[in-house]
Amino acid sequence: MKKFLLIVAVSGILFSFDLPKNALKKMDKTLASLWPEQVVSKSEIVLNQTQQDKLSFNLGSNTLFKLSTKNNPVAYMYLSEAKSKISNFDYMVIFKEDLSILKVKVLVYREEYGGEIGSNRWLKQFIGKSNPEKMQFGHDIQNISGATISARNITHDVKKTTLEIIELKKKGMI
Amino acid sequence: MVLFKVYNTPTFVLLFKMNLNNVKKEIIGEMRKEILSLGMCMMAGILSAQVVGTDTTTNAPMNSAQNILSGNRGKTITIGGYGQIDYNQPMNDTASANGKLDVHRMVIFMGYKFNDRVQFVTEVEFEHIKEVYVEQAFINYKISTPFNFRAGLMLIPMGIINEYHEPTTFNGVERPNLDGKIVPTTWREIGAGFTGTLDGLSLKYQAYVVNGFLGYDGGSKLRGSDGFRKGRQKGAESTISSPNFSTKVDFYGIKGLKIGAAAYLGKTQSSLFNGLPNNDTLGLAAQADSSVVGMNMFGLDVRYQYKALQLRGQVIKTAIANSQEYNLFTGSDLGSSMLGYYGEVGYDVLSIFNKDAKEKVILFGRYEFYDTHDATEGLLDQNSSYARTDITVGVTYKVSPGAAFKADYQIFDNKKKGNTPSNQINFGVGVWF
Repeated sequence: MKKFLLIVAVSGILFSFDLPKNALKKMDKTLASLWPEQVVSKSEIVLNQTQQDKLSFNLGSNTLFKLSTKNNPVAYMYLSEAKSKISNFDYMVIFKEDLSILKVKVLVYREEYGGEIGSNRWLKQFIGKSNPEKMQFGHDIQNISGATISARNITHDVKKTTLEIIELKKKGMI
Repeated sequence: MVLFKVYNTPTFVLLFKMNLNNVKKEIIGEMRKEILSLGMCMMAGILSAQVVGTDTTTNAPMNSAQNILSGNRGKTITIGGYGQIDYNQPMNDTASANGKLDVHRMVIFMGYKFNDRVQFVTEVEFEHIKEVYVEQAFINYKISTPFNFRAGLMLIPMGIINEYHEPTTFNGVERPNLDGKIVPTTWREIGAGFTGTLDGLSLKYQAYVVNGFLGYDGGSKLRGSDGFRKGRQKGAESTISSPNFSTKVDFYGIKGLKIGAAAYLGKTQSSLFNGLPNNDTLGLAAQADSSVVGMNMFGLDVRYQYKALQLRGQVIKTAIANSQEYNLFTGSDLGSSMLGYYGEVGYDVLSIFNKDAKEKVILFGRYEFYDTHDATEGLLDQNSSYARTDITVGVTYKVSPGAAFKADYQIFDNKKKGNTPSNQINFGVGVWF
């Protein structure tokens, strides 16, 4: 029954994501592994124009979601994209409520160059980080030889999303 | 906002970067004019006026130029490149020696994304200004992340430098000599195969069937001093008589570490198999057999980075079969085994003083040994001058991740009795964008 509910809760929002089906499967699998045996619902955080005007960045649609289990907020899910050598790739960052990173997962990687960054072991480097200043590529986040472009870009982008979610929190919008 | 620039200097007529896949949607509008003009400059000369697309509003067929003008190209084309300009000055105690200034390589990279699964990648290289090569040209068809089919002119995965040879990715003005004399960088041939990454295992694999070296074309192409280097066919009207197999597996599951293991198995190609009669009575088949050698090349490479520390090393061993017959038939001096290895340590000293520095000043040292006569067969004596040792110390000043000034000092020695080591100082510029 729980599994059914999870499917219902997730499928209700599937069509609002601009991601391929297998990426959505990856997303759901990741959420299921973080909160096993629980129904995880996602609700998009949408800002009104007044709120948006107060921000230093533009929060697009289908970008930031609040994750809840049993109606209790548990985390935020930030969907973003970064550059690889030829293409761009989609990935997500799950922030705990204290805005420390719980998980980074590559959802769609569109080329073979730099595909190494999809490695869960490499992405573990981000877990627990909450201070954007401690996300410096080459120091706090180690490179993968042969995947430097993608590794550098995802590091910069995770830092950017962290700065953005901190700003949202500070301004009381989440 | 200017996201790309056109520079006009005596050396580089045009350097630019345009990666529109990565340009934010909201600025695409204001970029449109620059994109169109740059796209026109690049593409007009190389694309013919065939029908390549359809106008989405009128459904009318469009030729290449119209397609560029429509802005559709902007979402799918990536243009980049790399370049290396060197100054080599031999330092000789006994005689004066002239230096060499060279635009060693200038490579234009182009990628075209047909859709999320299908991409075409090509690199056009100008070597020493006057030689033009196609370094890569292949289609990558992504069936799934762990399963991509690739076909075309491809780099052979062996060692570090052959695949990752952009000058900002390695220390030293020149590539290591092991990656020249034993792994004949830039080694590329036409072939097809599979590649992909297995995220759970942190493994990347490549497995290709490729064309091999041309060992005989009316005369010997292989030799003792640099093994297979002169036998590279580079996809230029290349001859095939026996396909080869190339594979590599990389493990990247430990933070900062990458370990690769590669194998290349096969035979060289020979023009003598062409037109060989089925019922050979003249011994032509035996001659043709003597004009090829079998080769099994194995490589192990390691790269490790921990904050400011960089370590890398590799070992390459090549076993060559039939070298005795080949040498007798062609009069060459090819060895039956080649062995090479190097180890390199680098450290970004700037990070000691400023952890947040955008630039890097990497001091490095590399010890290299490579012997193209590791073993010989038959009457051929090992040439001890082919057992070479290079020591390189220098600095890479990375003013940006994609731009570096380099300087190093090299000592070249070999095992020949009475040999006096020669020295060389090098300065260079490397860019990758």
